[in-house]
Amino acid sequence: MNRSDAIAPSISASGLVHGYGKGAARTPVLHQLSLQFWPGELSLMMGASGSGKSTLLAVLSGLLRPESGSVNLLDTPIWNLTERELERFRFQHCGYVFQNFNLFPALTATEQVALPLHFAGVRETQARQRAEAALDEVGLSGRMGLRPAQLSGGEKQRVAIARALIGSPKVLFADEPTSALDSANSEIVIALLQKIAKTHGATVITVTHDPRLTGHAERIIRLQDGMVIEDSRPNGTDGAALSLAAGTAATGTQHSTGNHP
Amino acid sequence: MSLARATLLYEWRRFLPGLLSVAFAGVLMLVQLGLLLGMFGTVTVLVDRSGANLWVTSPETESFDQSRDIPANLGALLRLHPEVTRSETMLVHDADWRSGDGTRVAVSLVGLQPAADALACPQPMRDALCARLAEPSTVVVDRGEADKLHAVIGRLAEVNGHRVRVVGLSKGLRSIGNTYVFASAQTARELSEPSATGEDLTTFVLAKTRDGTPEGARDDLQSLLRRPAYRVWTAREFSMNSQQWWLTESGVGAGFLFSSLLGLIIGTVITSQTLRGVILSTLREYATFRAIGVPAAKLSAVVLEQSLWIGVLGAVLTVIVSILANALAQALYVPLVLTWWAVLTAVLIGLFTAMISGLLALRELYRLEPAELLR
Repeated sequence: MNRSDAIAPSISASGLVHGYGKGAARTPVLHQLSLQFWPGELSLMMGASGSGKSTLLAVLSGLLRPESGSVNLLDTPIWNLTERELERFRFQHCGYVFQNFNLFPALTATEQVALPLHFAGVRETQARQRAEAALDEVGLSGRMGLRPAQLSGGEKQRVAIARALIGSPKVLFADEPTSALDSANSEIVIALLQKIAKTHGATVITVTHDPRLTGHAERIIRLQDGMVIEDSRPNGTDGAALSLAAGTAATGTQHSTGNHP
Repeated sequence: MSLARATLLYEWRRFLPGLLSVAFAGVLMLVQLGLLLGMFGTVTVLVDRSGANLWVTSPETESFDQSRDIPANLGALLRLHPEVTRSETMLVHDADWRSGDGTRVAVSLVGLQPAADALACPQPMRDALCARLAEPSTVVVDRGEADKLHAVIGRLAEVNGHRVRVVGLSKGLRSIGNTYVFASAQTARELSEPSATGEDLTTFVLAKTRDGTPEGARDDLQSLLRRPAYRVWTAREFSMNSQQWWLTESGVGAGFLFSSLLGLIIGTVITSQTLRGVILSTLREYATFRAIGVPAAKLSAVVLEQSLWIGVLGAVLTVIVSILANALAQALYVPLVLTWWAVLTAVLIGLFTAMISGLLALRELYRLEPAELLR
């Protein structure tokens, strides 16, 4: 784990347990999961549906309180915060990109991106300038006045990315950001997310089941039945994958080791 | 541009049902109230439009349409009071109208002094019509009732079997009950059935005091007229009491309240469902902002701003439609009274309805779990 020696992780989760339902009907989703993420990297979390990758993203990003375990996000144990504190923390440090873009139909691209600043009480002109800069960064400087109905899927997702970037988040969570897009647009979007990780020094965690994206990730984490079955760095130091995976599993429980391939 | 206004403008079709229902509830209320006030106004139109500020009625009278006959010579008694300058009588008797072509209608025959400045002469008739009644066996009826009576100026008709001639049509003097047929006191007495005792009777004795405050004179005269008991009113009291009687005792008021309430409830339900629909259609977007960490209260402000706009626009529409309805009613001689306080009340109730609807719709926002976006 050369990386962890050099730079402190921005996200560090340990002993995450979560399930849905109660009693006999309970379906376990996360089994004593422990993971760390570092700034400047795009990590892909992959796995079949039901593997727990979306639940893991929700827990890591402060949207879903796990049954047990802890998440340290930028040295803050987020699940010790009150609901109100957590909201403020997310507002200050986290960006989110979702599968369905989730743009308001009535707003132009600039207005979509400026809206979080609007809620933060930033002045109109300043919000506008920052929104335009963010749209410029995602390559949409020519489309600023258009509404979602006038934008292509790829453009909509880039607007959503610009909106996520507007607060200069340290961590960016993306859930299936390319699943509604064709290959060309998927390529653009994932490359953009990777670039953001590099230029902003942000920690980008992307949940996907799209194998086309792997070429753009520093790190690929594969989940199955709520456990990490592979943690690799395709373009990184050789041998890191196995040792990382083993290291992750070692901090887990017995059965997570048992399920290791 | 705020999110609330941008969405309102861009998706106005979605908001339209809410806006229309707020406006409709307001119009329903205003027109009903207007008709009610107009109708009650007709009860007391002869009181409100007369020049008298003191009225004497039979003791059990609660409303203008209920008075029984009293001695006409009470007027002389009234004139003894130093404040009273003039007094007159007004006779209101049921009669049978028969037009030239044989149509028979029950009417209220009103007998008054045939002079332009007569106290009993109602305002719209003072210019010319009252004086014209000095000619024996002439009558005036209201324009709004002329069709019903088959009355045409110059044409002959019969009242209680006596021939009369229509010499004019008044305006705005419709009655809540039987149609008024105006005649001089002399003519009216001749057309009425004679009283059994031969005593000179009338329905009301009217008087005017020196200044505009008849309360002192009323108190003096009331104590004087305790036995035999007559009721002495100021014109204002008599009018209010008559309208209040109709509002509370006749059941009309309860009907109005019930249907207005129904309109408001329907308006609230439709508006809150409209707003709820709008929220539900953008639930993912709202959830995204909850995820970012925008408090639900700030998102609620967006919805409440939208409801406020719906309320304001609905109120504006209410006022416009009510003014049009008022113009239409005037053109059709339908007594509809649109007062500024009624309009103001309707506007405030409209705003209130819209805000309540917004608050009801907020449930959806507070129920929102941003983690559900990650399913």
